[in-house]
Amino acid sequence: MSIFEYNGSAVVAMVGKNCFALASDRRLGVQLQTLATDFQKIYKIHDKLYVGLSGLATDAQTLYQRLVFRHKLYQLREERGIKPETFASLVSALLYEKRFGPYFCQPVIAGLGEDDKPFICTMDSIGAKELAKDFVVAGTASESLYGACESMYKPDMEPEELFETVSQALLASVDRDCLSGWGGHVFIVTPSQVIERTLKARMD
Amino acid sequence: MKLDTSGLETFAPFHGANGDLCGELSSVPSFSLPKADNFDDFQKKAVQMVKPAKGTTTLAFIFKEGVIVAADSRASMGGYISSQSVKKIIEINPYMLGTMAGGAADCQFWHRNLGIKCRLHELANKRRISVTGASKLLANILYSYRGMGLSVGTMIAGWDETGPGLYYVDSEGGRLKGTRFSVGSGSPYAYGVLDNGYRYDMSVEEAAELARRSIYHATFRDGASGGVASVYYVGPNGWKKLSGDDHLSKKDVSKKEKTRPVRCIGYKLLNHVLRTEFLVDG
Amino acid sequence: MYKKHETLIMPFTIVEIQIRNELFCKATHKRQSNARLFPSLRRTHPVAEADLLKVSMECVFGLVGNGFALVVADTSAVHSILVHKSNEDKIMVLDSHKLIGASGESGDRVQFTEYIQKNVHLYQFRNGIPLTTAAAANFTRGELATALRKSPYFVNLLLAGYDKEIGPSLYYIDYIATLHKIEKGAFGYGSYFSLAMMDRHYHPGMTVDEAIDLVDKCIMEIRSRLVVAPPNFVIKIVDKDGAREYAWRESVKDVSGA
Repeated sequence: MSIFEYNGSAVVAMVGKNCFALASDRRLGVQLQTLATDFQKIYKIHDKLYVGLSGLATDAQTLYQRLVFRHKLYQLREERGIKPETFASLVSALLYEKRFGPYFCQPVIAGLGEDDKPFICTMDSIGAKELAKDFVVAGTASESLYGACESMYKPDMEPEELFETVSQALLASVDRDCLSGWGGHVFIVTPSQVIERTLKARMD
Repeated sequence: MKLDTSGLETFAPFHGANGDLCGELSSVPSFSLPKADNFDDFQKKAVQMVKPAKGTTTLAFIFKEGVIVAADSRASMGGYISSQSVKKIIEINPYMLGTMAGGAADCQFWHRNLGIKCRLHELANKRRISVTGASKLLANILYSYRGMGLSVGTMIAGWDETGPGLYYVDSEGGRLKGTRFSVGSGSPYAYGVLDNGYRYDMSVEEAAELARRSIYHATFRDGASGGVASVYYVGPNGWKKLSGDDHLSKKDVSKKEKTRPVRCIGYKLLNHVLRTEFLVDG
Repeated sequence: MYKKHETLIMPFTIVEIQIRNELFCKATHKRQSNARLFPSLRRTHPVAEADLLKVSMECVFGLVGNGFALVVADTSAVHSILVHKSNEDKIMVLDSHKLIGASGESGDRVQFTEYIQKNVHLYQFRNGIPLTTAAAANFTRGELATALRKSPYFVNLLLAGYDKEIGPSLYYIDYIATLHKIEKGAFGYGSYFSLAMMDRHYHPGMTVDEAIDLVDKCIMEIRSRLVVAPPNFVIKIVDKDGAREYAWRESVKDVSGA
């Protein structure tokens, strides 16, 4: 079993009309043993920028702490929140710093940029950015997530429809993965509000 | 070494070498061996190929009224769930059940084979085979293939002239008589619930509920177990399927959502939402 | 990785795979220990080698009840087939209101928990107030995470504490420094038996008597079902009155006489 599959995770981000959704599962496991079903995988950087960290949980926690630290320094110097594009470069730089002993973590970054334009991107564990206009996925359920998103996504969805789509995609995908699921966590971010919802899911 | 290749032909026990039915019964079907330079090495690799994947929970126990047999229904390949509706309890005959853990093909094939042998025994002797006898037949076959890479962990449960019977048989050649077994990667979790809740003088309903609960808790903790908990009861009149109900209806999701049409985008997810928070950006 | 050409494969026992992995772990860990002394010996990244199931034979578990948290640990000091001692206390009283139950390699276990204990004390001396349980847990995680990329400690921890404002809490910290706040948790082979048992019988707001009853059920199950079951256990509790030893569950007398 790959070390990326040690704890199990599923993270997906999707773009709608002037909004985006970021969703994850809630399981923390050690290989096939489920330890907890209330594990946070999506972290807030600022009001319009969120990051989902899939992969090894310990590295996700370490990476998150370092990202928050770097973002606080940025805020102090610039007196504003970071732009998603810039933040993606920051994450990428932090990851590549550990090129020969990487964080076993695949981040998904989603935010509203200038003029509230949605931005989503993912990268591998050593910081190769992968930008997308529609959706990005990461984690042990990523293969099924690709399939689900590919068939369910349509451009320019309104927030509620986007929530519906991303939730259905997530729930359908984790039902095909032993290592993720046990509940879902969805963020819908629009220029004026953030909707956070917790999903029930199969508990097996 | 002369290889017996009769295993490649259909199993037709009636034209045995001497036409002796019993001789045919105790014989073991055989298979062609692979043409490998180093057979042992090949075998080792073959064993490795079958072994590493994981995931199942099955259990069976004897109580006052008979035997309860239960299993989950998940099949997995690595982390991927390849099916949520596998029948892991095999109906050998109306009075006997087998459970499936290990290689699915191995289990299915050898249980079917056992079913044939049991039926032939019945025809030859005008009485049903005992659970003891049936499990011994299977154990002997598996023992003869020991080290060849078969992967079977099964329980044979049933009702015969002596009452309820339960045996654990595995591909290492082990055969154990007992009153309470659980097999599979989720078995330690199942035992945790089963051992504590077990009483000999349970009613059929209580016993079925205990079995279902044990499977449920195993599927919660074990990522490789899941799906539906099917429960069978074997009594003096043969087996009866008590339930194959979905875990969803057990605890966390209401019955209504059992038939959630996942691919229908228009379907409202409201029942899935536990908690909603609105943070208005300032 | 998946075997894509195999349709349905479900080995019926996990124990064998784990034991094989554990043996493998022993070997790699030895190399890691050497690497600690001679960095040039380290060929692979320590965390990449953590790609193994490190399940220890020890049993540590704990839960949170109404106004208290408790930790249970076995008390066997084992080396391969030999039991050195069967009354080794693996639950450290970190400070007046904190307990830390540890399992793992004995050297690492003692060194690391003592290191944490001394630093928690140091903080209290310097600042005049104790760390909260959450703060202590995060500090512990930080130290483990830092060590993970240098020379990892193989210790799994359950940190129980009681804070005036927050009440009792329990934190899960494993040897690769995953931190999570839990209501009930377990480590080692014992976890396979105790977790399902706790899922079945645990409810929030348990009284001490109910919790001890559940603990005894878990110990009974471990003793009767686990091949390498340790004979003795110690139970410690932390509540508003502080952290203390609650009881021992002994089935054999210690041989070392210590």
